[in-house]
Amino acid sequence: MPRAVDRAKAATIGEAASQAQYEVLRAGREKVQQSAPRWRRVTDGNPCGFCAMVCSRGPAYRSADAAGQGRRYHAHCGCTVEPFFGDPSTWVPSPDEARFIEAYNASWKPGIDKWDLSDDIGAWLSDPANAVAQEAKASGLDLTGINAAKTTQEIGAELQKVIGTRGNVSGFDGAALDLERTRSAAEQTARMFDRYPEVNADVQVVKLGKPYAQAVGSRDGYDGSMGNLRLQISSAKLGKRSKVDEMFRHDAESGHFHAHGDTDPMSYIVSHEFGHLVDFAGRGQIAGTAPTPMALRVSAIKKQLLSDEGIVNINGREQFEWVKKNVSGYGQSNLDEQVAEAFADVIVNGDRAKPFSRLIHDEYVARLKERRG
Amino acid sequence: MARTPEGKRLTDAHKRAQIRLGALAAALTVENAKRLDVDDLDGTREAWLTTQAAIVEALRRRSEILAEDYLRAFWKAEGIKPSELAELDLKPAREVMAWVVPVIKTRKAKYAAGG
Repeated sequence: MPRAVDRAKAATIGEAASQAQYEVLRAGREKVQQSAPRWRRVTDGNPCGFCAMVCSRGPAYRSADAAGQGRRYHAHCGCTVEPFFGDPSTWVPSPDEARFIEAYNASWKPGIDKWDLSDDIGAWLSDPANAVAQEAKASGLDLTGINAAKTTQEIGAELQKVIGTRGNVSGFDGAALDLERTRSAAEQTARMFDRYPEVNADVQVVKLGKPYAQAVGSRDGYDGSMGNLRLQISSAKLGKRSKVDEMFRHDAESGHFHAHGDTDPMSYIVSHEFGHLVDFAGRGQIAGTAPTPMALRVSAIKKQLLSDEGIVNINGREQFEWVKKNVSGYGQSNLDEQVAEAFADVIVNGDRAKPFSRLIHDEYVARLKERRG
Repeated sequence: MARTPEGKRLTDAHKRAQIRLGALAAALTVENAKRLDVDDLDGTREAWLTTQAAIVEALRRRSEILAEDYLRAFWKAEGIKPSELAELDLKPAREVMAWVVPVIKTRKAKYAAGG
């Protein structure tokens, strides 16, 4: 059992690290804030009607406080404020903001008060008829061979051609595999290889039992060589009788995954598992030791975002809820799953990915580039 | 905030760079804690605090420089007339980190008493 003084030091240094982080960021933040004349509210991608209404006004606020800095207007509100420089009349709304303005214009009526108006804006935004379908970012990769393949064996052979010597493809020959589902998994796998050229891995369709798929890394760490990492996809989930679409839809609706009704399950699953592979690759030959430098950095980024929302206890219930909102339900499992979910979010949801996902993803990509030199 | 793709790119890059700096501050603080001997808090406090304050001050300056570079580049990319950069008046890092050792001592007493 640790001594009282060791426990006291560990607990206090954790808080000191958070404060050091805050104090450092404060310098840059205040420099920007004190040099900016106008403010606007920016949403977390899933705003309530009120935040959407405030956001739709653009840089109309004279202070960060007036734009609602630090205030949460809805459950799990992750909306923030940003400074705006220059003439406010030159503000050009982003596609999301244009949608909030459209919602505002559709909902405003003479004499309506701001609370009824924000309710109506929220209703307009959540109406599927007004929803903007999110398309996964298209890759410039040539997938013609996989698209044209007429059997699962041909799909496997075409995938092998695309990834070349970066991994061995196997298991794409089961008679029970569903052709289109297998094609979808292969296409997304090819895109991931294209997107992360630092990662080499074998791709295997195998019997896995419960998981949709899994990533396997060597205990000795990643040395960049072929066969060191494996992406394994469940043959049962790719099967003709698989209920993967229904299962995935249920998981997406419940918030277990940060996906939408029209998200292709295999794209999300492969992206998630590839996130684990990038995680392995980013760690280098120190897998199995904890905490790794990357884990420390991810943890620190998370602490910073938590502290921005006033959450101090990074192991408390609030943190747990924060992960569900800012990552996904599955991300609540552990930090490794948060990283993998962040990858799936960025790849599948593109510009609509959550801020945490974007930061984690970019941090890993930077780390991979560093390793490549 | 940005009207131009370059302005947006600069804003995103600045945010990421700042967050990385914050993460570095946290990691260095954990590393620097090795200087603090729990069996000799009074004797090791000064060396720890001096280094800790230097870490925070140095990274604060880097954070400020990042922000200044960002603002200048952003104004240029967006075609905005540059404003005067604000001068910051932050509390010295030594003062803001001074609570750490007293809190360890308080907690030590509390935990030793079964708290």
